[in-house]
Amino acid sequence: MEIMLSEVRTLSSPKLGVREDVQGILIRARAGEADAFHAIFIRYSKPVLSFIYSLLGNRAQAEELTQETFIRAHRRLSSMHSDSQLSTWLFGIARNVAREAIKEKYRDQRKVVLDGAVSRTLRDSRTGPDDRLIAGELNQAIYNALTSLTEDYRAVFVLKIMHRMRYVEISRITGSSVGKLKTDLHRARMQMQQSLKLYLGGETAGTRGGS
Amino acid sequence: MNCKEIRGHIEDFHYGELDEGAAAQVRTHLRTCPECARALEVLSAEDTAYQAYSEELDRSLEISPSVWQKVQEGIASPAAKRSSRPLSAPLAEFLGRVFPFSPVLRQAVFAAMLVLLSVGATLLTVHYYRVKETGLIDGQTAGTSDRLRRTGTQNSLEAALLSIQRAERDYQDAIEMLSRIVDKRKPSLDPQLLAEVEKNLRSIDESIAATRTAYHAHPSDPELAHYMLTAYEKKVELLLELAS
Repeated sequence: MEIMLSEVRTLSSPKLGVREDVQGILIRARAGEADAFHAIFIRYSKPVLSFIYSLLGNRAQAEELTQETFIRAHRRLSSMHSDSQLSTWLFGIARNVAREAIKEKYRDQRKVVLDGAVSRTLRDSRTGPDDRLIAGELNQAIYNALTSLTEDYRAVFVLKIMHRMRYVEISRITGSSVGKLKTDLHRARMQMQQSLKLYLGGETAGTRGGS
Repeated sequence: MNCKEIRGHIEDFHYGELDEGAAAQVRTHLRTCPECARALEVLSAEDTAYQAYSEELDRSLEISPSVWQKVQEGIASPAAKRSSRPLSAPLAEFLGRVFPFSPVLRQAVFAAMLVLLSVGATLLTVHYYRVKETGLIDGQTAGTSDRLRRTGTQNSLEAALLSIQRAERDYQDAIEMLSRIVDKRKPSLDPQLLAEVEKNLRSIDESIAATRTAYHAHPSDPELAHYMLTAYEKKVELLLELAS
């Protein structure tokens, strides 16, 4: 899913039926005009849903958190910095919403484990991919490999490789330095290669470690 | 650059994140080093697989209509609106049904309605004042009962003046509120339409200024009050049309 966020300058306005400048839509959305915020939702809801789904691996929860992302975005429109890019700002909110959900889930699971009612690990409790969503053995394996990454690794991997964002944009979303992002991506890639060696031919790119 | 250095840059090169100078060095190296060229091929092949996964996901993920519906409900929920809800809830709900616009625009429409009501009351008062004034002129030679009538007329005059002042303030508030909304919408308006609108607004402003000067020079003249309030009304109408 390539967004090329920095190149998006206009959005389709449902009310006007024409493409409208992002800044103009933002101004109208900040003034409380529902059709302007709807245009933002139409443009960005799917990438946001995909991003959250890739972080959590659960369709229903991803939809719920996409809703929460846009509700929060609406509340914070007036405080959005004028220099901020709408897309990175929305993905930043989505990342926070997803992180909160992951932490909450982890807390709940720890509680369950401590209570002794059900002993299960965080890994085991991950919801499996919906077969209708991800068809094919390789895609299933990629899904599994992705869910085995740490949260930070998964975020940079999804944003860089799947959403093709630039490091500077990912840095704004995650709050991590570009240096850390590069290191995390490299390690994430190595882990993915390891998990998928049966499918990717067992050969690694060997980046950052050659002769 | 040697192979180790190239491998350290190959991911950035692959993603187009290297500056042109470094990218040129990597390109030169890749032309003469099969191992590094192979490393780049493997990287590209992996990304192709990840991209295919991403595209499959993209095709499969659709936003159901209920998501936007729930976003709207979340935006409209009391918790979301608590901090900025100037209208009472039942009234806002009523207005929401009557005027299915955005909350801000609804407020502006509501303000404009208040102004029209206020002006309606003012014009009635002005009319009443004019009737009483006529009565005063007719009864100038009368005794005690006429003096009482004169006092009553004086009260009516004050009430009329206060009412006009209130109407003028209401108009000014409505104009300020609507102007803010229209200003924000200006970038999205057609330039020709915008030029025409601004010309009309300037013309109305001139009328307001002229009638206002005339009225404040002769505050007891109901005709001048009427002209001034009509000029304000025209501006509110035009702004309302632009904001909706």
